[in-house]
Amino acid sequence: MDIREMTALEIGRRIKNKELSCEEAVSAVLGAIDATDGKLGAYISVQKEEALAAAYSVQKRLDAGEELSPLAGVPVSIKDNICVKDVPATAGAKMLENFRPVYNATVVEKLEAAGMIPIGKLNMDEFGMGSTTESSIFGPTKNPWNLERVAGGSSGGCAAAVASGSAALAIGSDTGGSIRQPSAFCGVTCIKPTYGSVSRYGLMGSASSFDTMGPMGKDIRDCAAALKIMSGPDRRDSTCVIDAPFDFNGCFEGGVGGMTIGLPENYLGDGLSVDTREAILNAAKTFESMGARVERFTMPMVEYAVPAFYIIACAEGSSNLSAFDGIKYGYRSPDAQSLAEVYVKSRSEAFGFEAKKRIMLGSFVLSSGYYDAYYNKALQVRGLVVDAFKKAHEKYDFILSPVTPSGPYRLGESLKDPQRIYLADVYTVPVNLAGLPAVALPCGQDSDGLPVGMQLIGRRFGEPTILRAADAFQQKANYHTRRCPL
Amino acid sequence: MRIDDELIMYLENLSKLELTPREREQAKTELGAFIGCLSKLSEVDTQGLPALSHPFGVVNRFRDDVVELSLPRELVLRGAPENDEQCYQVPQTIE
Repeated sequence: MDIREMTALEIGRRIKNKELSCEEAVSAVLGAIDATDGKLGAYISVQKEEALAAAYSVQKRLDAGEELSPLAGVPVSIKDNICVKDVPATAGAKMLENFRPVYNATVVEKLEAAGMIPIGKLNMDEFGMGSTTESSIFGPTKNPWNLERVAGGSSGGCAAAVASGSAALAIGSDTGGSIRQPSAFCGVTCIKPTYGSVSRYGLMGSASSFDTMGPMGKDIRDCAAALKIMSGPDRRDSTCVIDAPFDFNGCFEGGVGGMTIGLPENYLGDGLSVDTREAILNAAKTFESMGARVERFTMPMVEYAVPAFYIIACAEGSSNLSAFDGIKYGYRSPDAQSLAEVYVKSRSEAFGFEAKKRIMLGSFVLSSGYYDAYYNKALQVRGLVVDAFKKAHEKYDFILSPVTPSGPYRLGESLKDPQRIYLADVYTVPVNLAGLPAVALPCGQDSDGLPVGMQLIGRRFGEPTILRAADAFQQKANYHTRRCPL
Repeated sequence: MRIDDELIMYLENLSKLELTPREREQAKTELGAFIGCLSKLSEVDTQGLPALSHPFGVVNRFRDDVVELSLPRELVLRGAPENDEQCYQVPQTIE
């Protein structure tokens, strides 16, 4: 069996059983990157030498009998807004074109301690501001199922790499759907964990009260294994509120029998493509056939989630991006003659238009005279969204929802109608407003043969329930095993 | 909402940005449309509701006030566009 076809856990199992070496696993992924990335543009940089050196050292530890983790020796690819010490981290931005972090993100420390091997950095929208990976200065990542379509975003590189087999497992970040939407577009599986369960230390902030990191892989068990490693408290992130790392032991036992699933009727109305609606309804039937009860209900506040999200996201984003002043790190304009010009020219020359637009919008909603009408109002609406989910989750073990209204856009399409693209976040952003966990997994294909994804939204720290449901689905239906033609 | 030159220049100043004339025109159109969409929130009655800046309402959490080492100066300065190995360098700030 080709290593590229194997799940990360299968690679880990074979390494443990000495059927495969760490070096062979790394070399296979490097070979896949060589074979596919010219067409896809999933990677921004590849750390071949470092990965081979790490493979040697992990192998030595395993040979000495050290117990690391079920993913020991497995190569892991990392979104380019997550810091890996001494490795370029650009966030897809000209501002950070030459930036090399001097420390590791907590998640990177944890993955390395578990024996995983960072192999490369993945393409993304500039600072995560976008949902097509077209605002990256390195050019767009293409969808491996159809090279004329986008891979989604902002973690488009992660999704395309996993789907094409050029990543065994990827770590992305999700502020408003950034791992779930590209996963749906590329037919891969992911989990966006509860806010505060994974340390954000070393993740470049986009909107700090929404930002989370999560794994993207070939199936839900890979994602669970990686999330278990990534999670846990961290004194360097005061918003990391979890008491201990997740323990998913036994969480896949029992299936969905006896569970009650909420299916929001108003998620299935106008704006949702026929193919996606059909795939979601079929998934509901599959859950029912396994003993779950599916109940339709109306999810309140949905129409207000996108505006509330963008107000808060732009406000927090403008604040985070004020760190880029041309002084401490990142780009400095060569023409700046005064301190004021260092700020203004560096920022104006290095930020792309989408980032500029969001910074200005953030400044607008935070400015005197507009603060109460926009920013404060959005924070109050956020409370109503939190309450709406809380009420729904009193009745339902999880909520079944689409991830996106339709399939992946054609390259360039999003630039013509940005407003439509923002509104397409309608199913993903409410989850970030409420800080809830959600898995996204493939559940069908559209009339063009492209993957369709669904989302299972859990209660706060309800990861075990949605993991179990996603696993039950993947044991029954095999959409996740379909491989792209690339 | 109509965005005029005055508001755009005000936002540029707050954001420490200077748009090109082409970007400015595009920003006027796109920000106008965007802010129009955001105004939908005025339909929601939020009188007396708390403003939730953290999804679970967590407020400041402090670690113990214990002195500890931070990153060494040499590493912190490594990413700076200009430095003299001791400090960041910027153009003259006082005439």
